[in-house]
Amino acid sequence: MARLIARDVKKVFAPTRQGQPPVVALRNISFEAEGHTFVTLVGPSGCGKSTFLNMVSGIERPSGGTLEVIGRTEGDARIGYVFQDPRLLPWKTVLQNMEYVLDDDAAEARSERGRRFLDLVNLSATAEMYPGQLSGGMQQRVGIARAMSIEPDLLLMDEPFSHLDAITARDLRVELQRLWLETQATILFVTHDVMEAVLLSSRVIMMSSQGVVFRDLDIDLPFPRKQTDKEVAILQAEILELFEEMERPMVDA
Amino acid sequence: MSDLRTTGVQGAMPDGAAELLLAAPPKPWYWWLVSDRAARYTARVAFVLVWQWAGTTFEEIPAPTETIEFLIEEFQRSEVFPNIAISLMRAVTALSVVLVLGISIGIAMARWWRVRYYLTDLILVGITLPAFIWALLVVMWWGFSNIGPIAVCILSATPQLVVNTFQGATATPGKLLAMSDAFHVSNRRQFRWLTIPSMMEYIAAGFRSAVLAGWGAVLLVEWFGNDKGVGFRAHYWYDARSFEGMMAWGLVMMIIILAFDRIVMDRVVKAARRWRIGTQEWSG
Repeated sequence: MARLIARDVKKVFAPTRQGQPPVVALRNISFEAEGHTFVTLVGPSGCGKSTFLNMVSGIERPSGGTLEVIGRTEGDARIGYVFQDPRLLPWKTVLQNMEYVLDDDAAEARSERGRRFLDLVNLSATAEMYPGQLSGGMQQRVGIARAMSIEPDLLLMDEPFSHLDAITARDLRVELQRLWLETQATILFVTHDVMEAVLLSSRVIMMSSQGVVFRDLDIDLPFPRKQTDKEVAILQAEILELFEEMERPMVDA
Repeated sequence: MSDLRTTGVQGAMPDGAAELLLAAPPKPWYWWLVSDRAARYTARVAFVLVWQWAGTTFEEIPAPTETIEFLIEEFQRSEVFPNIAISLMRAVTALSVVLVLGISIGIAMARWWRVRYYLTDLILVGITLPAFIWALLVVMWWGFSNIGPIAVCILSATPQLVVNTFQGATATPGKLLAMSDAFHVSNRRQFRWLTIPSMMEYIAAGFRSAVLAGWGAVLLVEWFGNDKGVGFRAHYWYDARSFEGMMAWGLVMMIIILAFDRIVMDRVVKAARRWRIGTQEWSG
């Protein structure tokens, strides 16, 4: 579990060519998340959700404001990342891909831990296969197992199911709920799918296309949830209405 | 395991259907003529036949039989193995240096823009400058020694490997690098597990070109200014106006480079592509 504190976070991308204006991806993002919680940033494409995740992971730096992740122990917090695409090394086996991110000194310890977390997503039989030999859904499950295997204080997930077919994505959402309930992790999830946000999250942060937080909502429904739950459908409709409200001034203008 | 991709047949089927689908189709009687192996052997036999025809038609071209006879005579004069050994020693020494230099410079050019700007023009000059210019220069500088052939081999072959390694290093997938950074994978492991494997196919292709260029360079310097080696021996028979002698040593040059390509380079390229081949077999 971790504590994430974002205060007035801004991100401006410098122009890559002469004459281009700078791109403001995030204007002013402030929120905190702590403990066994599943927070989802939901918003339209280009609102800066993925940029925010990249800054939390350290891949990118904020242009302004502060971002802090406090882990269970002293020192740097452990942050796992599940990307939109699985991002596996195609020339390494599934098990080697797991071992790649592990920092245990002994090779046996890395291998044992890798196998243990592959087992968690029911993929231990694929340990010696290459990623290209697996389906898209299986590759994404390896990506989830890899991120889980470092036993992260904070798990970042950037639209991890958006490239998958509907049936596989539905199965993986069920599996993710199970994993989250088992591991007590703090998860920061990004999606543009409101149904997915309501189904998985304990809290939904709505972002506008201007790169600011529009609403911060608690989703007070019991876990595990199903796509077919009526409460999920009702909440989804309510959040979609809020998005319509958010976009109304722009449409009217 | 239900969503494993396989090329096999799954699910309920009538009796014997799976065997029927998995059975290889019968080979026609002429399969040995149209197989890939047949193509290779046909090409070789055709080459020897054309050579034999040319040898019997034109006086200046020695036929295969005459060439082989001459080579046996050279063998009896104890000229074959000592000269091959010297040329190979020079080529192996130089190409070892090429391997280290070419990969290091290629990666450095991709990693640091200053190195790239310093070296781009030099590498271009290295690629375009004909090896015989270097050959003449080194003969003037160092005379008849081992330094000349080794130096020219390094100068001619390194740029080939640098260019390919540079392309490979810039082609390392940025998304995988970002993933590695997100998980704080050490630079050492990133280099061994990500950078080098992603470049292996480029390095293998570059080294193949480097070997061809380097071997040619060694022979050229031996021809122009040396008293030992395969190139020298070919030049010796050129001075003696012996077509058989030149053809025999030309044959030795070809056999060595073909053997190296088949025995070493083919395996290196296969090893670099092993994961890809495994993947193709599964994804059908």
